[in-house]
Amino acid sequence: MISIEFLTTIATLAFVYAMANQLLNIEAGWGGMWDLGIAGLIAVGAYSYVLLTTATDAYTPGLGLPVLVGMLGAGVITGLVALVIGWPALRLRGEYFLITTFAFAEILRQLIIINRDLTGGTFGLTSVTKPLEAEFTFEAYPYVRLVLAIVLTGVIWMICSRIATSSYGASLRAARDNEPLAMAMGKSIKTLRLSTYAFVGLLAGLFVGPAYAWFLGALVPSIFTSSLTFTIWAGLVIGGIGSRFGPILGALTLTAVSELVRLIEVSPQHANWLSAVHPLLVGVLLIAVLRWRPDGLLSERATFARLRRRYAPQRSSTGHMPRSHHHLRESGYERPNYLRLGDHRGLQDVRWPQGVA
Amino acid sequence: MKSHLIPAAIGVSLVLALSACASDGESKGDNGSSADGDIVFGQLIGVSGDYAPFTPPANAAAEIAVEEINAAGGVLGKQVKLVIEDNRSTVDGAVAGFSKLTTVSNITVLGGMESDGQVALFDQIHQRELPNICPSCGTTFLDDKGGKFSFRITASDSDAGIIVAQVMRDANVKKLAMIVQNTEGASGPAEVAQEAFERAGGEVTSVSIEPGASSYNSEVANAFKSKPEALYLAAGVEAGLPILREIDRRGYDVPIFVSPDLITDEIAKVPNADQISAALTAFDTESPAYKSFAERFRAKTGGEPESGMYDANAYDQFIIHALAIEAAKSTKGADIAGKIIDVASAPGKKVYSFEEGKAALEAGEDIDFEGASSSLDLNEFGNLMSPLLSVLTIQNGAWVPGEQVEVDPSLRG
Repeated sequence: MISIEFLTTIATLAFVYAMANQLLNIEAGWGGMWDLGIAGLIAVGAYSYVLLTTATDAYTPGLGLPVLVGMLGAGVITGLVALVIGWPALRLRGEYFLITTFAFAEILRQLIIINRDLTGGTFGLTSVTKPLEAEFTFEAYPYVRLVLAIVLTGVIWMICSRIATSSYGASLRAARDNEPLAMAMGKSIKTLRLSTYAFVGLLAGLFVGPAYAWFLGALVPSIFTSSLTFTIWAGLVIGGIGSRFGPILGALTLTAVSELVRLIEVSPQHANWLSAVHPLLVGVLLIAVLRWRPDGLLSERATFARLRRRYAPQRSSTGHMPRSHHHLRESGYERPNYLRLGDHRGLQDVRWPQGVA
Repeated sequence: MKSHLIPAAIGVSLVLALSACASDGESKGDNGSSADGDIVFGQLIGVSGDYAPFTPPANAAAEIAVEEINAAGGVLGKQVKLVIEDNRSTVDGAVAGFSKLTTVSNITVLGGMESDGQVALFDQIHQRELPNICPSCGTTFLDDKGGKFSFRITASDSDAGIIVAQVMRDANVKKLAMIVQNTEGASGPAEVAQEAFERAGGEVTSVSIEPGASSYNSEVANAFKSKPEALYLAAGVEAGLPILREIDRRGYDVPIFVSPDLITDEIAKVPNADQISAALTAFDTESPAYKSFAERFRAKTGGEPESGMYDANAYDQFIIHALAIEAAKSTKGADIAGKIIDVASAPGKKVYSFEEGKAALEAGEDIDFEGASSSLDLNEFGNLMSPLLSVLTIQNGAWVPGEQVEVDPSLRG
């Protein structure tokens, strides 16, 4: 038997992961910043939101602010935290950046544990203010929460799409593929990366942290361990690093595989076996994707090939520039000069919109 | 993004929502039964993850309870079906597992959660009016919030912490070192213990640890820097074992008091086992309920019930649930929950099994179920009135219950 409410709960979790996957895709997929600290940023966002919105007379008191103000506040706080982390961490490259962000995420978690008076320590925060909760019955609220998660995922998708078709996004990818050439174009790579990292932090606090808190109903530090980071990474790898829709598809696929296994009914004696199936399925899925779809279910190349087709100029009978071309120019999209150099394998592989040359 | 996608996605989810509202017949508190007419008992537990070592005996104990209930004719004339759901020892796993149990399995009562999941699901349990007994939650969150739909049949972390301070004080320890894992189950009692011990005039040095580290050498060195007269180690087995081995390797010969999570066979076999003791909610081994349960537990698992594994508690939770359903003569959550304290606590005829309790209820008598784990008398908040704790030591590679201790109220804050 399948319950729609159960599927709704699982779908909500999947869309929360989809939000996080998209943010990781901005910094890791397009920016080349392999961040192992995304769980730390989500933790800051979730805790900030809950502390800003929890009633002043709660067990661990908050400020009692409205939900929207709480989300905005959480976004600003997490963005600032990301700025502070990014300042030293982004001076490092590759695995050093990876290890540093991993360490910062753990430091953030320890700070949450230590500051018991503020965060509830290991006891956590047990009261989460959820938007529109009072307007619906508890039976209906899971569906409302799902709609909210889908809307927020859609908002992040639009932001990501805007980045993908902007000169900002092109610069980000250029810095990833060939930093010296990107610098030669006059781009400030350091500023670009730091602003991206802070922007990802802002979105994590604004959307992901609150949505995750709504889903969980309580926060404890053990939620935000490296396993959350690895879950988000696994979803991104499965969906396709650098792809636009891949992060969402990856999150939905991974969560479905992980959670729908619960629908298999077994006797109590075989509960252990069923639990072992969960990591097995995730492992098999990862192996299968890496074996047959090494770029993920959807690839970055396909994403930008589609963009090229969409924005390619079609010569009109009047000789006017196509509308899409105008659109790109107006949005600041310029084909970077380095693309003509083509001395890097990664750049040769990228098929850029010919119409914007 | 093409803007038509978002409205489409929202539309699909709204349609789903509306159709679900129309098709999901389950309503608040009207906890039904499975498709084959059985009454379903749900056990939401960490089959995988950090709590996995506790789970096989707890599940075996739950099965014993359900077998006993069914052998006595079931509840309200229906057989009971046990559904075990893995919460993966995480909060999001608990939320997803709870959703499955309540909406797919259609459970009548819920048991078996750990502290983190219990806290996260507390509101949902109340909203759904789902009777819930936790056999192993120490969280102080439940100290004054339970009693309506959530109940607990083990000692609170508050009591577990105070008993540490009490044992140390009574042993004339003035300087105590603590090595405490950063999880609610470990740090909760440790914080209570530190406050109580300092209130009693003692001095505490505390060192925090994370599970899963490759070495705990520096943490052990830091803890013993102050030359303590005793050590309190609050951790899981994963961290506890290497710490105890490191203490042995360094030759620190002080009494070591460990948290309940470390009352396991593995810990009983470490080289410095003779230094180790612990306090735990005691099983009344002379109780007829315990003797009967222990015999069946041995037959099913080949092992002895261990108070550190909460297996007798896992048995008791479902016997109480079943008796409450019989007393309520209803499967409605509010009706069942309203009878839980009544059937578990005095006054009433003392009964030691489901069959005895069911017979007494059918005869119109009030009952007081004396469980395998304890007398199970519950206060208004659904907590044990007077948890019985015993000090355990390790003898010949096995944990042995010693003197039984009552909490000294003067140590409470």
